[in-house]
Amino acid sequence: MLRLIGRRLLLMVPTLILASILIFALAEVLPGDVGRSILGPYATQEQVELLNERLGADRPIYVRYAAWAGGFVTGDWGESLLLKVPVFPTVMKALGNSLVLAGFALVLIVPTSVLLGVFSGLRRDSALDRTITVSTLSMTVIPEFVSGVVLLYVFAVWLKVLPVTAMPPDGSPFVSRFYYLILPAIPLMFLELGYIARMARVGTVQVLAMPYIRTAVLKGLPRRRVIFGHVLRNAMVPTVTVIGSQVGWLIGGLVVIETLFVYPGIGKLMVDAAQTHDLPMLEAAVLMVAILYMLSNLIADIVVALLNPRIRAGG
Amino acid sequence: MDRRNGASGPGPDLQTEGSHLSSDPEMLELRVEAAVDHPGQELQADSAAALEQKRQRRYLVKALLRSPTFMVGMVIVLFWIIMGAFSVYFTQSPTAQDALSSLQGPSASHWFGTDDLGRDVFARTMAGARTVLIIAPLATVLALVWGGLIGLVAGFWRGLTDEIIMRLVDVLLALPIIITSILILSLLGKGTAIIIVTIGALFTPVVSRTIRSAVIGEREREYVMAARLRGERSAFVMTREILPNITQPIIVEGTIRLGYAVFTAATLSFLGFGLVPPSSDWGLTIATQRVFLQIAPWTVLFPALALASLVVGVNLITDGLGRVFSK
Amino acid sequence: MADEKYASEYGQHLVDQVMKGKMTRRQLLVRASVFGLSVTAAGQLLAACGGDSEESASPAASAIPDPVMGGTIKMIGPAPITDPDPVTIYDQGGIVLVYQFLEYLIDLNNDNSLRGTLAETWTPNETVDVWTFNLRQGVTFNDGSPFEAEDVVTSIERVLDPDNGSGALSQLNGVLSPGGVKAVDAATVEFTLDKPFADFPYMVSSGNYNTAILPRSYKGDIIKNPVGTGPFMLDKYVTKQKATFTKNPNYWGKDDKGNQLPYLDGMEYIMVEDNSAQNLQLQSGAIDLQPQTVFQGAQALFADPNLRVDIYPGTGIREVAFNVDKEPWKDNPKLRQAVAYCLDREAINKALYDGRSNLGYDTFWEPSVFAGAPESTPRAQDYEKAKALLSEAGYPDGLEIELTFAKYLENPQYAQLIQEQCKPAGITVKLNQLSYEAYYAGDDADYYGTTPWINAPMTITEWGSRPAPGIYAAAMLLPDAVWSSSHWDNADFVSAFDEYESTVDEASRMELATTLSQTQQDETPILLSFYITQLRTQKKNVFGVGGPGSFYCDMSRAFMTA
Repeated sequence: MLRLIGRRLLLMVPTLILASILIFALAEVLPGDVGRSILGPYATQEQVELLNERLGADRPIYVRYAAWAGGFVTGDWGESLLLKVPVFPTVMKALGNSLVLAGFALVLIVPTSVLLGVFSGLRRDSALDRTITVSTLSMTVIPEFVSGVVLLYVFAVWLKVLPVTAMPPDGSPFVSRFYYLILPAIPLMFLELGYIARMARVGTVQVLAMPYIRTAVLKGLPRRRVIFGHVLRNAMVPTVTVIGSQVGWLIGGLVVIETLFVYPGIGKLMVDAAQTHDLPMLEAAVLMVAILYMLSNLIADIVVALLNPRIRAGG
Repeated sequence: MDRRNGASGPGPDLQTEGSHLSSDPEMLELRVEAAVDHPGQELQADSAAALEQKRQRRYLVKALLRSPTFMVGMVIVLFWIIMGAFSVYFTQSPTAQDALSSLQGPSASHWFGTDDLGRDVFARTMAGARTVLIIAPLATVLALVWGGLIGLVAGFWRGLTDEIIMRLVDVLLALPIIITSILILSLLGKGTAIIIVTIGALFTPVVSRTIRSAVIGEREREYVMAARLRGERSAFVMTREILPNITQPIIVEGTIRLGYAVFTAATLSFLGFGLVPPSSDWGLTIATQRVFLQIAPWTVLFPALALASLVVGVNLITDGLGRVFSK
Repeated sequence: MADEKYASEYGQHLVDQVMKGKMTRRQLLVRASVFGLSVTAAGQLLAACGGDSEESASPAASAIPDPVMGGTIKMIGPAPITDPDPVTIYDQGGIVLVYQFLEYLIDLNNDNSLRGTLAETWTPNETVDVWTFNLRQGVTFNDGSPFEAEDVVTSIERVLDPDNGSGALSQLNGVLSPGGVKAVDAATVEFTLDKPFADFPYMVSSGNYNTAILPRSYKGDIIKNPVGTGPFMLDKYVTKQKATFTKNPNYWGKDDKGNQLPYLDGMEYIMVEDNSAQNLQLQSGAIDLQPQTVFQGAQALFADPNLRVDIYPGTGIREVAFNVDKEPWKDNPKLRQAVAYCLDREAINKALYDGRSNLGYDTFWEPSVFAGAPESTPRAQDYEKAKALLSEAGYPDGLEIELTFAKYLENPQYAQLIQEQCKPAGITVKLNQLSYEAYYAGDDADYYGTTPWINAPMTITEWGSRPAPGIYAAAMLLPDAVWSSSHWDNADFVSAFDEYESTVDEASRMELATTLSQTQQDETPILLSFYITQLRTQKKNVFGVGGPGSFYCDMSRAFMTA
């Protein structure tokens, strides 16, 4: 088990290196350059070239990569080329915000969807099962840019019962953040409920088909104990796996939500950096999200192994 | 946007709800024996096996037709296919503008109202199915082909090849999808073909993972061992032996990806990549009309409902297939 | 003094023109302001014309209640794209921000007439190539240092230095060069131009964003050292989130009654990119003012009972340029005109701006938009004419053309309108939509030779408000204009334009303007179907927000009632 974890952690390193190279290469071929982003379309060619020179943006790509990589591993993440703010605190702050939103959303999503999934699995092919499946499925296809606007309009503008932004004013206690995060979490719920519930359902169905469950029931164990003891635990196996893979998106993929609800998360930070060629910011943000994605997958696998002893033995 | 990155972890492949019906080991061992020992009788054994397979297929089809989930899904998808292909022949023109009557609500002359340029929303909603129904299936097929190839190679050969390939797949999966698609699409430009290629490429890593799991499950079976003992080349074993026996997980994976492809195409259009006006594409329409949501909600509502119904339809088909295959 | 005599001669000249019926009173006010005549002097001229003086162009002027001191206002707008540097900013966020604590020599009024801010008066010499500016006295920067001519010289010279990367350099190109700015004494600055240019004052006004006056000790990093002469001071700046301002207690400005300006105690500028998110915040009551309201989706704001949308005449455009260096537009003005006659300008106005903008007829000299412009010849949709022109142009069976534009604001809609409206004439328009970055991207080695913006055969480009037709023409219709997407090179136009800018005689200017306008319409290097009206949304208790331009807003006289 520990060996497995160690091996996975070690493998993260070459993966991250490759990922960082890939991003550098892709950003290189994007149209435009950082000097132009800073000075705008009305500056002359010479002016832009001068600025690029000053920023070191005209050096060959491998030189820039080496310089950036060297700085990155020693903790010097540099300064944003456009915003002149240090990259490290900016990225960390945005990441923190995204984690809070993702965490809050998961707290809402996971119990609900697991319950729904297990119930549909237990009453397989019943009317309840089909209703849950179809309705959660229908919710997943509502794009967040539609649900977000509708929710904002209904609850923040028309009814005025919830705030129109996702961040409380400065100096508010940390707990108040969750009140402000209610609205943005709902589109996320729509999108994830169907998917996670389906996984819980699959897990439930598979477990119920296992002979030892029937044996347990025949042996006289109360059904409720059987369910909570075995079914739930095993239904969580596919569910946890899926949640682990979704965390990456929940942290780094919420550009639309962050834009609509004016939330300074890392998704928007990345997209802005990509479009303006702000490479230090882009690289740092992408790598942090990648690390979190890999870590969350690892944690999910560990949890699965803990839940399912047979896998654990496999090492 | 397909955020379902890396959907299956290292555990058992749980996306497949079905078992491998047509890969019944006894059935296939018979075939192998017959081929090795009694070349002449191979034909007989073949026809017995073939008959059996035909019977199973007919059984499957009958079961599907009886499954309400599957049928409802099929009806919805077929409806959109017909609309996408033929609606232009009986609706108003989806591009004809009438700026002086823009943003009007549903009425007798415009069943779904008009958009900001005065175009008929009903005509555009019906015609908008076309782009999605071209892009999503083709992108899915691409992903299945590329992902299938990678999964086959990695799963069959294992060892170092597998490690290297899967690490590369991990890298791709770790990159945030939005950034990768922005970068790729900014590079490649616009147009239907580009979107198809991009979505296909985006889904390839996930598909390769699933196929790989299925292949790993198959390669230990006796018919595969027998084929290798016979001295067949790897390519032969992969394509002629293993591949036909993993068609079911491929189909299920394909239908799942199809649902996501529909959604991804819409979201990419929303982000401003790929499709361009005056296309009636739902994603593009929702993106451009979103600013009018408060004053003219019909411009967003109908394409959004259409998109939702199509994705639900595809998912119902997947669901139906899954239920039938797992019986 | 010679200046005063010249000024009074010019003033008399203006009065003459009005009396002869060749100018309206409005035009007199504008030209007088360009010439540097103070408001009082201009008022006296109006009085000399007889009749009542006109009211100013600010909306609902009579309905404004008395100013209330105090309060903090919350405004909303996009974040600056980069760390704001007044010398190089070009985006709305950056400009709105720095405008609050920096000032210009001259400000634009809502009707594009000029108002002296850090300059009190200004006059040209007889040949209109040396302008003398008299600076306001008793002004200090908010760090206590005095405002003097030296500050003006360093500020403008800094902008003219190519090393500093200012976009204003291209605008001043050909008019003012490094070394052309001199301090005559502590209160007077002299600008020696490269050629006569009657509209020069516009170029050192708030219409040319990078010419804000900075202290001579400025070393960069305005956010860390927000030293300026403006009514507010930058208190806090959180990148991409918000900026907080407090009142400048030593501000030089006072209102008509002698009250100290600004009225407000402070402001908060909340940075939000997405327009619909901005609108939602306005509607929820969390925000008091949105300086720039975009047309798309504004209908909801018009309908909101707690908000007031002010409408200002605007001069912003979407230039549809025919690249006359490329086929099929080369040497073919009839073809270009054919496209012009396909357009249903009213429908375009309705679709894009709810009918609120002013129609344009492919000439910059549009009287409904710029006071002082001669009558223009309207152009309506006329397929007969379009087809006839097409035949004469050599395309009796129609042709296929390509239109390149950025996915930005209403450009895609405009493109679709053009596409659809050209169909009945047999012109097939192929749309080439690029991302905003791609449209303005170009090769490092030769940006202006490769960027789609300047080089594609037919383009749509958005331009922020310019205060006068001459400024527009200089920026995009002259052969040496770097930003000319049309690459138009018409000798008649150029010589008429040079004359136009080198004289202050209103009669000749009017004649020349008529020639220029007609030439532009005959040759149709670009299409101008509309001049975009500005919208500004605020809560019903907010008043006094000034500034007509695309980006900035003047908060010195803003106030909120209870």
